[in-house]
Amino acid sequence: MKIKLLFACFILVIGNSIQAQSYYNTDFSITASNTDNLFKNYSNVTEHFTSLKGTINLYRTDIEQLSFFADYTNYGNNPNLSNIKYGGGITLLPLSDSSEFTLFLNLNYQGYSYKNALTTNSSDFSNENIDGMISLGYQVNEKTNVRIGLNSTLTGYASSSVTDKNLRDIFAGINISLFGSNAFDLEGGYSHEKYDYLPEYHPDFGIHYGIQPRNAYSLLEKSDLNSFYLSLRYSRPLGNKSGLSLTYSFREFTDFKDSSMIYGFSTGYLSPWVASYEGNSVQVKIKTYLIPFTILNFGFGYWNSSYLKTLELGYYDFLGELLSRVNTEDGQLRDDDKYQMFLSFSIPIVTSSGRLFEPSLKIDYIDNNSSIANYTFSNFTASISLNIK
Amino acid sequence: MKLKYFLLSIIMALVFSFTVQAGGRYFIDLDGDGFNDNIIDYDNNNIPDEFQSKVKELKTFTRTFTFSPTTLFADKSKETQLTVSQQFSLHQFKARILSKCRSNFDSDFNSGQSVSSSSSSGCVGGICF
Repeated sequence: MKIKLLFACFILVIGNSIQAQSYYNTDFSITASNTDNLFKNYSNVTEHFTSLKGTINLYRTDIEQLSFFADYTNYGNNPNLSNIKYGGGITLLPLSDSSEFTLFLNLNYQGYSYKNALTTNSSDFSNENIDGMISLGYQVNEKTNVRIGLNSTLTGYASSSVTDKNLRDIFAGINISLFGSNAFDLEGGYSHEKYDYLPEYHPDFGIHYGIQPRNAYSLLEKSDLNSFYLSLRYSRPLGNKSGLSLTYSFREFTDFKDSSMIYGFSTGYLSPWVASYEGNSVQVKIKTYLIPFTILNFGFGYWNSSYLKTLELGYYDFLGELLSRVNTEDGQLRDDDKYQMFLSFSIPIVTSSGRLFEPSLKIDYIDNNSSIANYTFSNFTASISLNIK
Repeated sequence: MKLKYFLLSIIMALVFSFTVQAGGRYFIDLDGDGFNDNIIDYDNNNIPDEFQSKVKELKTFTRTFTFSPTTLFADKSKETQLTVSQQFSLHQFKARILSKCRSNFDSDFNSGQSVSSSSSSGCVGGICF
């Protein structure tokens, strides 16, 4: 742990002290946030947290970037959540600017270390991430670009009981400008991952004592989870100082077993697959420079999401404690309608020495209605940050 | 049904209304922000140069900074004046459409919170669920 902290301090000090040079540059940021619903569920846990991040990028040539970073987040009300994230990566852009082809190669490593346990056994969930991407672009003409790529993400957990998550995407897209200043970007892809699921589920006496954190892992089986997605984006200027973006996305599982279930958060098994869902979304974003020296972004989005069947522990108000009751007793699917909006201001200031100072303010609001009461919630988060490059 | 026709009319009006925006003969928007990617941003502050004053001064307690496009970027044709990191940034800018895919619905809507990816799923302390 001391080595990790030393590494983090080194990155932060370097990031804040040195000037931009030919063969390296630095990025330092500090962010303070406040939220009224940290876990984005019925619990409404309020929290304020501060994050410090430092990055150093090294360049041996103009086609290669090596990056190292450390990111420490301190949680005020829940100090056990405090953690440090650290890692590095390499990016290669080996083709010349004169080529009609563009090749992007990227490999990153990230590690997470926790000050203490998140749940009763959450030290199991300290994890390491490795992600890589290979993508190739081709400029058909001045208005048309096509691309194809592979993306792979591996999340390895500290505990041997928790199955590592390995997600692979293959995708292709086309970007074309039509009728003047109208850009259309269509992307489609196919994803594959392994996941752990509960093949059979038998409630006992109406109260489901069968699922307990202590035996949760042994009841699971492994299978494949495949999905495809389509996303169409339309963007164009609105006047001379504003830009509009509209995005529609659709995702569907191709071979999910209807009878299977996964574990959720409250079993003590912090399922990596809870975030897997199918559905569609519509997003609208506006970016504008109407306020002098300021970048203003506004976004509104709607998501309809059908999640995998999930088993959770329930909270009994009359007992005032958490029991091993499953709150999706009837195998009820979690189906959410989420509305979200955000607003951000940033004021980038470049000094004569080339260093960028960028203070910013962001607010974010979510209204989520779910078929499962635990996930009907609202969330408001505000954050201020300063970024120095 | 009327609402659908109304929305469709707005979209069609947007598509066929022409907006003149500087930045090159051809409009191209690879990053989806609605702005022409050919607009020049010599001082690299993410605000196109034509949308800001060229010089602004801000006095602090200790020293005075002059905010202006640096001489480093004064002539983009002289690429030899760019540092290695800046040359890489130019390559990276041209490859930005290749650097991520949209398989995660929320990747294009992230407001930048560190505690969560702005989705109904969450990431707390680096654990995503």
